[in-house]
Amino acid sequence: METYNSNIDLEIERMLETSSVSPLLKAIVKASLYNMPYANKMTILRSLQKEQRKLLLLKKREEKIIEKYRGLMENLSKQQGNT
Amino acid sequence: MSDDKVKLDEGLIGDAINEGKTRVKDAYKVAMEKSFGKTWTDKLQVWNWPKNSLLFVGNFFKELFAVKKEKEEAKERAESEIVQEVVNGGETSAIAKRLTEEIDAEAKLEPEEKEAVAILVEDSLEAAKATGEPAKALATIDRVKEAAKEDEKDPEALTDEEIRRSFSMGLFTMVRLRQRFDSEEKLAEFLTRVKSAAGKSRKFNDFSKYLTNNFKKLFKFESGDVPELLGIDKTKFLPLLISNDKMRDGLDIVLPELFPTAVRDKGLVPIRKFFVNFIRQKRYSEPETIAKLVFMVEGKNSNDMRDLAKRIGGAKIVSLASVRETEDKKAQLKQEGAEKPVAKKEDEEKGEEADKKPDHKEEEPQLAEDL
Repeated sequence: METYNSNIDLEIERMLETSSVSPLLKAIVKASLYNMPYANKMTILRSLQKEQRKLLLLKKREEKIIEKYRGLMENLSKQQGNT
Repeated sequence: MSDDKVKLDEGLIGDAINEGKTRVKDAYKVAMEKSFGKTWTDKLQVWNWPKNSLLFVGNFFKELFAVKKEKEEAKERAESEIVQEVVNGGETSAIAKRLTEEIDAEAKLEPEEKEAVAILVEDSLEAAKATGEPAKALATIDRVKEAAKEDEKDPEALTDEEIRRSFSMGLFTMVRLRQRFDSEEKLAEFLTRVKSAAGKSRKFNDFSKYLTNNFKKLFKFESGDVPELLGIDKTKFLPLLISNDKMRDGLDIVLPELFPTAVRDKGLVPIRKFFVNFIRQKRYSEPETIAKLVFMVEGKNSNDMRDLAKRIGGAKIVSLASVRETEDKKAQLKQEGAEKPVAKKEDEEKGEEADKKPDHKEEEPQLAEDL
């Protein structure tokens, strides 16, 4: 059974850098990659990719919310200035 | 401002108001900083928002919290999946070893501590594998890590909160305590603080048990009375341990004296359950210990307990007279300072005979029914 695959290991480590999972878990994953079967590595990679996509979507939603309220506040300020 | 608005940020605004932020706007600002950090509040300049905008602020919070919650959920989901794969796909002892090395690099553990950390980490990973609750394992490992670091401090300088946290990993604390307390009085004083900080927690029971079992090994001074040293009412010690349901070797030390109190305080049912479990797990099958149990049962006028003792002890039950005889012999030998091992006692012979007989496995269903 193949356990070491430098490409997938590197990819996981790269994804971990931007992941929101705890630093401890990052250390655990890194510590266990060498002896881990390929299938488990793939599942980890997929989980990280899924998390990354979700975080990206949420970040965009956050920006939209901020923009929406910033606009609202600006309008309100203008209205108050006019009155 | 309506109550609904105050609740929007899960109590933080309320907290801010309680902390003296009387202006709603200020309360929002404090709450927001606590929730999202200063960068966000700076970015949005909440304090510059016009007076009549406060109605919007509530909704703003609501939407941001929804996103924040989703982020946390995504993180938890990823953590859960990843830990599961790690424990399923890796050798837990190897992972534990590597993690322990990392913790050691940060916290400079003593050899005994290092061993304890490795065991705790491995146990957590194994538990995650078995229960499918990886988040719990992660939290435990994190606590181990924090406690290991916290133990660097002088125990007398710890705050109650730090004691409470550090105490949850009592094993570490004990190793450090051994190095730092050179008198029994100082240790007793500190342990009283530990007790008051920890309260009647399960961890405290584990700690008491650990201290009871390892006192002489851990400290250069001798103290036979660990419960007292811990500031525990001795009559309450056994019930405390029994409620923990994890008592092992410490039992022999406290049982003879405290058993009647335990029965009185806890009632027969939990005590019975407790003993049956111990017998089943072969932790309590020494003839001498069973004899002690019978001794206690005979000391108590309880038919229920006598019956139970007979059944769980099976062929190993010895007479009260032989127990007393054994105790007398022991005391005599101790007095004489004899180094030779005691000749085979009547009860031990009986115990060995019983050991040769087949196990009492067929009795277990009956015991289970009793419970």
